[in-house]
Amino acid sequence: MSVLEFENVHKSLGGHPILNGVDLKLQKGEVIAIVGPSGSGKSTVLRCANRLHDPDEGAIKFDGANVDGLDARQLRSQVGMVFQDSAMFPGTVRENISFGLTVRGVDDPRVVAKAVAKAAKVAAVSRRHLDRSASKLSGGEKQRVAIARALAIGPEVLLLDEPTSEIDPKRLRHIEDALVSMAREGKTSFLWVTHSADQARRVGDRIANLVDGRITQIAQPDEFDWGVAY
Amino acid sequence: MSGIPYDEAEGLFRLGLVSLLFLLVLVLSRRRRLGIDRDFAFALVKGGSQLAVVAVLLTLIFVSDLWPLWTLLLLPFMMFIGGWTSARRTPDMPNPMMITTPSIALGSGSVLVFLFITGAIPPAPQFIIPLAGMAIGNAMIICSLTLDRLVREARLNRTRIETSLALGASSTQSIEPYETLSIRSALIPTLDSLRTLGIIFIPGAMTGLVLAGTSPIVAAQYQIIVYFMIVGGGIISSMTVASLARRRLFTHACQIEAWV
Repeated sequence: MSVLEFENVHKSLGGHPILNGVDLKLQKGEVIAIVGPSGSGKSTVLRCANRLHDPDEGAIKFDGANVDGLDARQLRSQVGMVFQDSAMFPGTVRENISFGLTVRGVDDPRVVAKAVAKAAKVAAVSRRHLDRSASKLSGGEKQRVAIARALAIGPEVLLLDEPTSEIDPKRLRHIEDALVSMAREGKTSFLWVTHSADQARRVGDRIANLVDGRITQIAQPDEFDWGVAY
Repeated sequence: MSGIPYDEAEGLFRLGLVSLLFLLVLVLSRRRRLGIDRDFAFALVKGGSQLAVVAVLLTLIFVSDLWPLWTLLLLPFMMFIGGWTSARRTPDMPNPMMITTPSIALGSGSVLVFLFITGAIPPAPQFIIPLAGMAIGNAMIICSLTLDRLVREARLNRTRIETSLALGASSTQSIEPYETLSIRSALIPTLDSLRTLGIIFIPGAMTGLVLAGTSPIVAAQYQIIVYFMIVGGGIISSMTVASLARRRLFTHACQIEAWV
């Protein structure tokens, strides 16, 4: 059963067409790695999925329901997103990771602490860093906190927009393995935008090639034709 | 002591004499090629003409038996002009006047009504109109500063705002830090002038009252009333415009509007 479905989605921004009929089905527990040249609309696909943008044409369905009819905040508690630019909020790493819970009014310290610890472990954020100021972190550390912050809300679908570009190889593999394990357990499904073909092969159950706002190829990694990709 | 000791005709003569100083400054700036002589002359003629029109208008209102009616017509007009001027600060926002005018009207109007009810403003056009001008003018400046800063902060912090939205924050929660920052920064000039009141400069209302022959003690008391009015009206206008602008920055689906 598909948890997230794009049906002929069109989107223009500032008068320029960005998405030109995207069709995509993300199955429950699946990781789809989206590759494609810069400006092909990869980020816009993700932004439409959690209603930071609404499509001009076509439909996006979450668990079978058109997202247009869902409350945006409710949807975003189930469809999380990690941005390319890991903007930190003022405060500590812990406050950043628990941000999504705080804004929802989750104030039981035990619930918050448990969610923070679990998310931090997946994103390779050390416990001793939790009380550091988030603004003083390096680029890679910020990306890890951003991943933990999105995981802490317990999303059913996680949209990842090149979230690991500055993370060191050792931690990168830990995060990739942990996220793929979550998918295997059927807890979370992922749309994972990446510029790295190697990463797409490592994490993707399927790889989708997006060119000029259209999916031109979608296949399992061993069947994906890199010769015609991009 | 009863105000400036000359009549209108003599006033015109004195104005002519003082204009010689202006001409001297104009000649000096031209010789130094400062390039400001034309702007300076234009600004002076424009400002002088506006003041002349206002002087005639005020004279007519002050002597009219229908002054309450004229005052009730004039104040909304002043608020409208304030709203229009403030709205020009955010040309990208759709219909900004719909938020600036009510903000200025609410801020200045509420403090004016309060001062009127408490008897701080005597029921005469000589008091109501100039004080309303000060209240509306300051509310307009604070409204413009708030709106300008809020829109700039929203643009600068777009990623951070969208990150908080994506984590489930409401538009109110995601813009709140920038709203607070905008209100605070808009009030800095007013608070600074309040802190240095009487030390660095003697403010306009007190100067005017002293020139008109009022005792400096009463003038100082009145100046404090004026500052309460300016700060109170400014804070109300600033909070109102920030709150109304928030609804313009986001869609109903908690998305940042395309114009931001």
